Amino acid sequence: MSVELATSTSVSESRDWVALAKIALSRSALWLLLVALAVVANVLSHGSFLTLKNVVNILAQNSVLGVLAVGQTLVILTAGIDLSLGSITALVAIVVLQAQGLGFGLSLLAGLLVGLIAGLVNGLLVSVGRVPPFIATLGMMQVAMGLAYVLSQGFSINDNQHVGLLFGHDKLFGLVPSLVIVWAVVTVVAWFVTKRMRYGSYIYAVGGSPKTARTSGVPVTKTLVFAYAFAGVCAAIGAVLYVNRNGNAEPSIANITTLSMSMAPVVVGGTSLFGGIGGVWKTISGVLVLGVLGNIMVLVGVPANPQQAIQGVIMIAVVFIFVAQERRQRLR
Amino acid sequence: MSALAPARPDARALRWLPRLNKRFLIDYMAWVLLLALALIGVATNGSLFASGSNLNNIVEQSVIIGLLAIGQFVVILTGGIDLSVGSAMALTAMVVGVSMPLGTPGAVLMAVLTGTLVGLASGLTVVYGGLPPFIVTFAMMAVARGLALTITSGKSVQVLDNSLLGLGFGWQKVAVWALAIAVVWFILTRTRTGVRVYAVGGNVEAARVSGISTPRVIVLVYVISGLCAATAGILSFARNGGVAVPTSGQGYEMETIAAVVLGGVNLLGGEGRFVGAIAGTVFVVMLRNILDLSNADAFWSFCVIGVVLWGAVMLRGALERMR
Repeated sequence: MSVELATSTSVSESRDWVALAKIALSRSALWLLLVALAVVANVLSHGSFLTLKNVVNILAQNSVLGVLAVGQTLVILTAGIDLSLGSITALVAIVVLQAQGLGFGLSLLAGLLVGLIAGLVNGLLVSVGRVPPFIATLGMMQVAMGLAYVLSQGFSINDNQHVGLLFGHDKLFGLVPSLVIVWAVVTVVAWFVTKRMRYGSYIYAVGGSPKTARTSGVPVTKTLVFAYAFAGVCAAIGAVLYVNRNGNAEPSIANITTLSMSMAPVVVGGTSLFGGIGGVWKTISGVLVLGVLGNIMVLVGVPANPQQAIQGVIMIAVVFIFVAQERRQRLR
Repeated sequence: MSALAPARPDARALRWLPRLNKRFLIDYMAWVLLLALALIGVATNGSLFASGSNLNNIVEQSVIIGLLAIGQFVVILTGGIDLSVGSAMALTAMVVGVSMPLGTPGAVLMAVLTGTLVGLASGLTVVYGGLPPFIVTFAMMAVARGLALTITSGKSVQVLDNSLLGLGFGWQKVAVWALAIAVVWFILTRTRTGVRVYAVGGNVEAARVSGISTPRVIVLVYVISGLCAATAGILSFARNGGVAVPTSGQGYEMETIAAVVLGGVNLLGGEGRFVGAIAGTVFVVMLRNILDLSNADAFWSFCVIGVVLWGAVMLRGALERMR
């Protein structure tokens, strides 16, 4: 009897351990994948990948996309999608450089204002106009791109006044580029908003079930407008970072696949496309995984033209894997 | 009871009226708007707009968008969306360009094959991946564009063989459009497949329970869209004088969605008249034509089409909610 009891507890204990290990593994799976990818990249590059300089460089390379993806996370958490972030980035980059004669502060302000307005329009179309999110933002993708072309007449504009040099300093402590710091700040702000502020819990509530949210007194319209406006401002910040990194801007930024597909790292990170599940930190792991994967593609020697196609395939593959996983979990 | 009685004959006599109000307005929204736009065209550009050659132009320019809109219409009927139509068109044009050495029939066959494969890939991923169509086709938009650019490392292809060029101009071009319209109209209104397409769009569960193979129907509509894109690709190759441009067709997905929604289709699926989509196509093309005639900056047309898309969806929604 006592023997039986002992074995049964030990079985249940070991089951607990297995369950715990499974949870821990699934929670950190992406970070583990990141480590594995980094090791692969390190081997492929004969040890030059995991150097401080290269890691900082990869963070800098991905910070424009990173900021966009943080904004996209808030929108996807409401069960929406923003297809226009890449185009808003292009428009704001052009606006900031057109206004560079006004000085750093004013041109930055003009850019942020344009991003905010574009986001507000998206939010109002979705909430008040009852336009499906992907249609509303598809329209904004076209409108913002069109405006970027109208303002620049299709030409590239140089950053002669160095408005992209954030506060005149390109690097902190001579090591960390300022655009990485901006990305970090945006991430922390978004984390604070989603996890520590009332509108954050509203976002999760609206994404979980708009009807339940509405009946329990959540201001659904305001929440949606807030999420899209936040994403618009993120796209504007991303535009400033783009100018900082490239020293110029052209309207065709809107067509850069990685920027127009800012939903990819969000979904890879594990935020549900159906809303309500996920978060900002997860998105950061998604950005880094895709960033390292892109770096490996370069190391292996994939030429530039097929990369757009490969990115599309990767995106659909990861979305597929994560949606399938989510469905299994819901069935349980 | 007695209070209600007098209302009855009235209600019966006027039963057509609420239907006329709402359904009629949604179904014929595009025609009304088209008429209004034509009047604006006459008012702003007078005889320049109303001239025979310009109207001829509008019809000819409608063909490629119109072909893509046919596919878009059929996909949206099932509650899906195809954002890849413009890239698929560019990809098939490139395929035609590089496979012309195989001879004209071979090149056309390759184009048809490409369109079918693109449609199959989208459709199968939507059905068996269980993913939202706009995500699948948004990725397909990048994949097809990437492949179009990869084929020649981003360069255009010029072909000296001019056996296909006739298709790109005049009545032949319009005839291709008319043929495609006739085929799809026949499928939608005269065959069981058409009924199934509407049924799947109306309610997937109900369609499945009543014995319709919903996966087959959904894959079929994306293949139809791919074939329409292939036809448009051949025509655009011919129209450009035997030159295939990998960056062509950007933003066409927007124009087709705007056209189809203006035509009264329900984005949730199951509702919509085919002729409306044709009127919507002509509306979008006429709008661009009027902007051109008014010497507006060509880049503005991007913005205008985006705004038209918003307006169309909101207008249809407002009519839908009307009593």
